[in-house]
Amino acid sequence: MGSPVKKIMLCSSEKEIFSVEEQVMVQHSVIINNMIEDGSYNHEESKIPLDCVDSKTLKKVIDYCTHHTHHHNDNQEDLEAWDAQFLNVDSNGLYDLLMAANYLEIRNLLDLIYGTIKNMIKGKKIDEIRRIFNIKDHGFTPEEEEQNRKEYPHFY
Amino acid sequence: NCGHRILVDTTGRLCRVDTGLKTVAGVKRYVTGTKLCLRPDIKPSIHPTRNKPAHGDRSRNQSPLFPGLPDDLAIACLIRVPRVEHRKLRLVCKRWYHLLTSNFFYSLRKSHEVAEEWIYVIKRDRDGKISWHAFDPVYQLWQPLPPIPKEYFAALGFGCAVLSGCHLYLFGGKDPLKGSMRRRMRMSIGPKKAVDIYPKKAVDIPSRPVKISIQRKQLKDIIDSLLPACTTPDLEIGVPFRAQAIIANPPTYEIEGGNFTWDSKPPVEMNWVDWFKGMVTSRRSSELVKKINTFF
Repeated sequence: MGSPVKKIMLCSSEKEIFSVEEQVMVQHSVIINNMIEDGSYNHEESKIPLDCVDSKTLKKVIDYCTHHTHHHNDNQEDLEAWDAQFLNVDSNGLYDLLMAANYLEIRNLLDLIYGTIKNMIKGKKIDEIRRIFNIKDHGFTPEEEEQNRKEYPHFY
Repeated sequence: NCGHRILVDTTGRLCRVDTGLKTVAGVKRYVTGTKLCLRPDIKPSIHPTRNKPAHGDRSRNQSPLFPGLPDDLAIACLIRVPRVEHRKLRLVCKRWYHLLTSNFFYSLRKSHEVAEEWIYVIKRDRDGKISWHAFDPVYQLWQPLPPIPKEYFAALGFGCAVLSGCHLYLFGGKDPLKGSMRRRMRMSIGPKKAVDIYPKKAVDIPSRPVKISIQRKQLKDIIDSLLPACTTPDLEIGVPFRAQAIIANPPTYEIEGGNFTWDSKPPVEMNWVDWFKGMVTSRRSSELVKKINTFF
């Protein structure tokens, strides 16, 4: 009774330690769930090293998992508003989050970011897409590019 | 209005249906009327080896799809973009172009259940000229296709299959003057109007009607909801839209004067008359009639 909430340690690429409720990560991350289940995590001494996730990103990922664990009964609109605010970052921040979510296998965060990037592409002109995703070298010859622009002016 | 509800429901289901077939062997499974692949002279893979630089060469020295993001994650984002945008995306950069004209991309869309089905319509003008168009039922938009090869302008009853979402195959058919078409064609539905023709191999695939298997009931529903738009007179001008055939991936149906015929013989297995009896023109289909008229 009154046993303290079980915590696990996550270690970012800068070797900063984050202590998180076990339940929060187990519920969202397939990888961490597997580690806890197969007993490869020792609560006394283990730290889970996340060498490809920096502290800033890891903090955000933990925020996401914590919020979605404790607020999963909130109404859909509130959750979506929270998600939108959460993903209000620049494209590098978004990529870092995507890579972290992919590494930790956090399915709902992955889907959320995929959807966000999809919406960044959808309905945009080619010039906008190139600018948003920083595609500097399109790889077409000047002749091809000119021909495409002439043939499909409404795409640009 | 019962008919209306069914049609709306049908279209909703349509979004989830995917009948894109990856291989010619896949066609065989569905197109039971044709003898595809049972013939030793047709190879399951007919992609030409020419014009295809080695895959490794292409990607090794090139910039990533999204600078700053590994390609596998970039692809996971790109496959989720609706198909209606693909023609545009192919022109963003060369790497996107190669990705979005590859079977790999479209089979990924299928395995991730984000594939969308388009409906292919062949129409014959009053002067007998044939053309075809693709219809995106989700966005209610007509999509341009490359022009029909010259040989097929006056052909009757040729079959057509869309495989993996980026190639359109033509087979069978009869030229009124020259007799059976002895060719099979592959066309790329990219923005470049690329047309691949295989004149060297004479292939005569029977242009017989294909039957609908029970599993392809959804296809029947699609046709059910589209047919009124193709056969009933336009509400405003009173002139019917004249579709010669509806092509929804492999199964092909020819329409003549509101009845399905193929070489004057009714198709097997389906009682078309009952279909028509049950059909109600809905608001949705009248919208479609209008769209068709605007488009043509």
